[in-house]
Amino acid sequence: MRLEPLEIWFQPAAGALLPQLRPSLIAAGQAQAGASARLLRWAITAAEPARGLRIEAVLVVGDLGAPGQAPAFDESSRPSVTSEDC
Amino acid sequence: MNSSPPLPTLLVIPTGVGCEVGGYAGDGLPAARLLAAASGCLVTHPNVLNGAALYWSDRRIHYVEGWALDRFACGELALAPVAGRRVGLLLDGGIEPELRARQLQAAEACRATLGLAIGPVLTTAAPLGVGLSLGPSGTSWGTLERPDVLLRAGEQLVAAGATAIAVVARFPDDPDSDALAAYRHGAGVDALAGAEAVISHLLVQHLGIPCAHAPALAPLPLDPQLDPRAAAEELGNTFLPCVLVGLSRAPDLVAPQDRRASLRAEDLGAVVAPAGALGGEAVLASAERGVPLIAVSGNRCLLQVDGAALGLPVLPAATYSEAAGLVLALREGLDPGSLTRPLGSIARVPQPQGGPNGDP
Repeated sequence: MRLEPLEIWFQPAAGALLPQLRPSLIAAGQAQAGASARLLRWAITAAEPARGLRIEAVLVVGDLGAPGQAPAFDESSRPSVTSEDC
Repeated sequence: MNSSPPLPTLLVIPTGVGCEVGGYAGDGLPAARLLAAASGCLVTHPNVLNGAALYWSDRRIHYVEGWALDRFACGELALAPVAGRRVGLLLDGGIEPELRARQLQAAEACRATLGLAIGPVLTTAAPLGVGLSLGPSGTSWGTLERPDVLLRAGEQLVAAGATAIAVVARFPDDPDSDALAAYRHGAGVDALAGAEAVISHLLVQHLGIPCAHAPALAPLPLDPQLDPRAAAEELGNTFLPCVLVGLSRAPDLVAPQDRRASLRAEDLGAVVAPAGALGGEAVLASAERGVPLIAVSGNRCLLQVDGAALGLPVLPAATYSEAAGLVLALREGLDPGSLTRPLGSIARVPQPQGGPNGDP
């Protein structure tokens, strides 16, 4: 599992932006980082008449699995619950 | 006391884009308090409210982490207020012993002095490995070498009884950098903010409970020229108290159809954001659903993504004081357009040729 930045320029069609942006971002993220890539954070950071909208995003790549599944890290990096209970 | 029903309002001040208001150390808090008073119900994110050792607890303000805030605005999550919650403390194994002890003492202080329910504490055996970066626009973001360690630690805290998680990660010290000097003098981007957002987004996305982040950093040398907006970060040895207070009453994140849900996206009556930073998911989702969008031009930032660029109608406000006036007008059922001059005529629906013609 890793984090990866993504930058795209997007020329929107008429109509609401959000329904256009999310699928385009997911497709661009998966094209860049593989099918397991999913969006963690994104925003439109520039708007230019010729190039459209620039979107900067952070992708999560790779699966950790659902909470409670087997740890995805080795024993040496396993978190330890300390005895300190504030 | 306002007798009108509350007008749930969303306040967004994006993280790490150099906002003049709210881009520093909890310096969006006065604006949030004013908007909470005007609206009677404000939903906003930790970046607006967190001032290290400084905080303001207000039942009208809902503390919702940024990833959850986006999902809320998109109608995928709803909020269910709680009386209180148990905040687990997740400490990065990369924190040195003395700095770690400072975090624990801050948590002990919040329990002893404020009565918060805190614990258990978990320290990751491996460092999380926080790295800081700037995106093409100059906005801050960051990465983690071990997101898996973060998420598994979060799972363990939930299994141990935590219903929210405050995470403290060791951030790189860079006391001599130009970027830090600019930030401390009120002229730069918060270089930590983007990485903080990544950490809290990961946890909330994975666990579905309120989470927020405070960095662990070595104390900085005294700077007599410190900008007041950055001063809250230099009051003590940790940034943790505001996070623990905010999370202690953060609402549950539930499905919109959950019977406990008391605040949903369709309840929003206004959204307030910097005029040049309208390109985030929460603002777009709200505005495209027809929620009045109040764009604050006086809160300049690195970005110039405004209503005109996105084709979004906005109610312009020069300051947060003006924005609060607009929120109050909406709450009272007043047409904001009636408060400005010149006052245009009422719009007419064009009649087809040959149709009724009683209107000049």
